[in-house]
Parts: sequence; C-alpha cells; structure tokens
Amino acid sequence: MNRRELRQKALRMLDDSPVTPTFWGIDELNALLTEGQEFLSETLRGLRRTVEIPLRAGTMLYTTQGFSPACMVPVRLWIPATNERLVFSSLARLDMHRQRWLELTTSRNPYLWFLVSWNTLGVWPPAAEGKGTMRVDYIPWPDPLFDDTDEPEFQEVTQEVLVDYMVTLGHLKAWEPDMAAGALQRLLGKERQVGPQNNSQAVQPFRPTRGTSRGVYRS
Amino acid sequence: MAIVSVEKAIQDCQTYLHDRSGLTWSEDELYQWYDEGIRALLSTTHLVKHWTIHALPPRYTIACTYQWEKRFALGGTARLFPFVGPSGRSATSLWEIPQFEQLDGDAGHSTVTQLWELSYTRRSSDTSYRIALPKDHERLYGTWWDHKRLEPVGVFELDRLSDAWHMRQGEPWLITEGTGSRNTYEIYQIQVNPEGQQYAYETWEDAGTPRFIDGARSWVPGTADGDWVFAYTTPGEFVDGLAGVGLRITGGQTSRRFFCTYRWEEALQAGVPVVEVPPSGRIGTYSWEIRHGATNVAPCPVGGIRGLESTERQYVQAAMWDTGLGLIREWHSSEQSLLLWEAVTHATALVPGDTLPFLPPQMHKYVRAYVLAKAFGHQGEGYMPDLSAAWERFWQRGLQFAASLGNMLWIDQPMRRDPNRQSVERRPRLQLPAEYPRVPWLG
Repeated sequence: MNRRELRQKALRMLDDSPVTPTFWGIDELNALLTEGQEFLSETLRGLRRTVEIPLRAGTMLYTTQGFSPACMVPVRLWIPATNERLVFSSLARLDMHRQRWLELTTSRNPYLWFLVSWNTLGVWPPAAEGKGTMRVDYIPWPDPLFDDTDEPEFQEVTQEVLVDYMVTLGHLKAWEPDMAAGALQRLLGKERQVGPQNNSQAVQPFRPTRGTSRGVYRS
Repeated sequence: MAIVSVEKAIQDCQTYLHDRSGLTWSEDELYQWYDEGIRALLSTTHLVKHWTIHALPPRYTIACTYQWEKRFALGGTARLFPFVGPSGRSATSLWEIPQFEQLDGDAGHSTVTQLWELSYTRRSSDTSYRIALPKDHERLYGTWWDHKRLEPVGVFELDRLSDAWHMRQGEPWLITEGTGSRNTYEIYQIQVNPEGQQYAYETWEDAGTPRFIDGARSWVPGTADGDWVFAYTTPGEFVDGLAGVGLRITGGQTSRRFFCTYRWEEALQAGVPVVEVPPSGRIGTYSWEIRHGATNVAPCPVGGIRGLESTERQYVQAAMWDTGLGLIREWHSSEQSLLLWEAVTHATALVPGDTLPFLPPQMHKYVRAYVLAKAFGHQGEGYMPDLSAAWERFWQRGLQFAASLGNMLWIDQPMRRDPNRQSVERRPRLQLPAEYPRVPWLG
C-alpha cells in the first residue's frame, strides 16, 4: 500500500471521508503515518542502514547523531580497508580485559566497540591514524513518506499496524475512549504478533561487574 | 514526525486537547507536564549516559558555613563546613569552636574553603574528597581515576578495612556514596598532589572566549562543528524548526529599517550616493565559499573550540563550576582526573524556544502521551479518566521501548558473535532420588 491507500484506509475505519476528511488535515494524517512508521520500526527493529564514517586518530567516542539523525542504535561495525569486523563489548568487559585500557594507544585500527549511550558509541583501541573509514550498520527510524505514491519500507503484512496506529490516534483525538481502548488493544496485540525480530527478551539485562550495598552501581 | 522545538510539541499536544487557546489547560501546565515527561523518561530508563570529567580535588560552586547559605549556589553545588560546636554554633575553622565555646581543644588543621586548596597545605586533613555532581546527575555507572576503574564500596566495608580510612593518602582506588548528601560521592584514597589539580584558568575569567589552548601533548582542535548549518540575513528568514547553529551575516541594529550584507547597500537604499565600496571583496556566507573567492568568513563560527583530537587519548570537556557558562575552557583525559560514566536527566525547566533536550525527536510521541494522560486525568474541567488511561498505556509502551534502548546489550544478538560470551557448559548429571528402586545391570 502506498501513502494515499494507507491514509484512505484509516479514514474509512474512522468513519470519515477518505478523500476530503472533515475532522483531519491531510498533513496531519501524513504526520501520523510517519509516527506509525517509527512505532513499527521500534517494534520490528528489522530495518538496516549502512554509513561509512571517517576514522579519526585518537578518537574513541563517535556520536551516532553525527552521521545520521535517524539512527536508533548501531548494531555492527566494520573496517572496510582490512575487512575486519569489530567485536561488540562493554565498558565493564574492557575493564576486565585490561586495567588501563583507557590510556592504551596502538598502531592498529580498533577491534572492539561498545555503547556509552543510545547516541554515543566507542571504539577501542582508538585508531592510530586518521585514515580510512569505518562502516556502521544501524537500525534506523524510517524516513517519512514524501509523496502519496511512496510505499513504506516494511513488508505488506506488517503495514496493517500503520493503519491501526492512525486509527488509534484518530479515536484518541476524537475523544472516543471506548473505541480508542479497543483500537489500542488491537494495536499492541498486533505489535506482539509482528515483533518476532524483537529479541531484547533473549538478551541478558545489563549488570555491572560489582554491586554495592549502597547502590552506587545498581542498575 | 521530527518535532525539535518544544513550542511545536506543545502545539501538537493542544491539537489532541482541542484547546489551542489554552482555555482549559493552560500552556504553563502543558510545559510543566512535558518537562515532567522528559524527566520521567530519562530517570526511569537511563536512556542518556555521558562521560564526564572532574578534577581532583573537587570544586564546588560555593563553600558556606550555614545551610541557608546554600541558596546562593543558585542551583550549583555547595560545600558545607563540618565544624559545629556543642551549642550548635557553626564555624569555618576548627579553632573557632574552643574559642567561642570556651573549651580546651586543639587548634585543628589548616582550614580550606575549596578542597583544591588542600594541595597547598601539603598535609593530611580529616576532610575527605567529596565530589558533588551536577543537578542533572541520575545514576553512576562507572568511575575511573587515572585510567583505572574505581571499585565501589560501602562505608561499612571501609570501616572493616581501616579505622582511619578517610584520612589515608595515596592513589584513589575506591568510590563510595559515604554519608553525605545525595548526588555526592567520596573518593579514597586522598591524593594531595599539586600536579594533580587543574585550576589554572583564572586568567581566562572575564577575558572572553579562549581561542588558544596549550597542552603537554599533541592535539588539534576538533573540526566537527566547524561550520554553521544555515545562514540568514533577517530574523524573518528563520524557519521554525531549524536545528543547529546559524550565522547571521548582518549587524541588525534595531535602528535600521532594513538589513543588508554590504555597507553600500545601505546607502543605495537610503538614496544617497554610494561612497563606500567593499574593501575586502566578496562576503561569504559559508566557510567553504573561501575556495570560491569569498572573504570575511570566520573559520570558527561557533564561538569557541568544541573539541580536541589527539592521537594519544580521548579528551572530554571538563565540567567547570565557575563563571563562563556555555564555554569549554578545559579538556581532560582521565589521566589525573576522575572520569564518570553517568546516566543523566533533564534538570532545567523547559521554556518556549527550547529544543527537546537529549531525546531523539522520535520520542516526542511518548512524551505527548504523558502530557495528555496528565491533562485528561487532571481533576476539573476536561477530566476524562478513560482517555487518560488510554494515553497512559501508550506512555508505558514508550517507557518500555526507551528502557530497551537504554539497555547496552540491546544489540542484535547474532551480529555480535563475541566468542567470549559463548559459555560451553556440561549438562548436569541425571540424579535419581534415594528411594528410586535399584536399576539392575543389563547383561
């Protein structure tokens, strides 16, 4: 379905005119569709983008917003020049690996990477020279659809979620609590159905190396 | 929907409230709830974490004797002198207690106002290093001193270590919440080393923006923010929602009736003979225009150096507690400094014109849900608990997503292939209960 078809389908479900809606502006619905795409992408985590960024000598931290404002989280780093993939690690594991890893400099390219925050990634050891690039694969928030004939990047079967999202927000805007509750129930139910790629449950939650009775590092 | 300004975000909330004029729900309320929503999101999920550098001994905004003096820190940090006499009298120095209370006692040690002054007493002190973190601090995830991780301990564990643990001198290797106030931590052991404290920036105070920085190692100024995002001549060209740093290329005095790029344009507009010609050729709007013959283009448009790059280590801008907010005056690595990995929250109230702090613009839809849940759940006109519950459920879904985004191990599992995490374990042996009948050997 393209943008027009998705919008019209949602309007029919909201009992409004699909061509000239009375309660909605077309821009408003398009913005809702963009939100729905974000919602679906957060559920599926199936979209991927790749960007190559220049390596900087001595730099350990890179801001993901610096190479893409739509970056949700980086998932894979690669040095194309040497065909070497960086292994994902964490600050706690780097501490276990080497006591003074923060000051270590080498003559080679980084081979570990870690996340400092949702928008900051670190590489280790920092590149010795500011030459070459680093390829970053990341999960994005999808781009908005700019034309009525544009189609979402998602598979056809999951695009119903986009309609459900628009319908849910539509009932909420119309102050129809009962309809909104039903639509929200449907939306979250479908989210669970279409979200098999969401493997966050399979990953152990972050635990620091040492805990304390005072909770300094409690997470 | 890439909403980057708070005003737009509030307007979006008002669309769902059908109250664009703010009759039922005032704008102040909405701003307050939006602020609360961002704070709740950051505090609950620890979505945003920073590396922060602190110098040791630590600095405070003010040092004071009485609790009420803390208000003059104006939201900064205050160090309270610990000396209180039997009658409740507070004192700045220990010798004041026996003096005023008419007691026999020791004159005490050297009194210092800020802890970095300990570096000049060159002696031990019973005042330990307690660092105070800014208001936006939420949770500490890791600390490093001189490139080494500090181990977190409790006070009772330290008591078992030594009676006088709080006075021990040497390299710091422990961090504890201690017995002080919230958002402050104590570092042990105490390192009293004049080389370890960095405060030689007093000559920069009130002297404008530092443009030239000296250091012992090789470094170059960072160029990541070396250009502006957009340029404009009049405020009318400002498109709402533009993010980033812009350059206005005209003076723009209020007395002027129009804006122009060249001085001769002013004369032309005023209808007087043009007597001044641009002496320096073409005026450039962007720095890359230099290559095309433009002049008068400042190479460092943002106002100051925003980053340092060194082949030797990562530098992070150091927190400063003195005047000159908004400027970065010092960069440190974790050598002889305290590196903190902390989750932060949003500390200052949002006002019109702000951009969404810390959060990706895509999170606006969840903060909006928080605002609308509060608005419809608010007693009085417009109270609709069912709608409030629906928005609350949407908000909870956002919290769940943000928590997973803040989880460092959220990354796609198959992509990692980290061999160290694959533990090979033998399956447990089958154990039969004691009352199980004997199994005869076959054959």
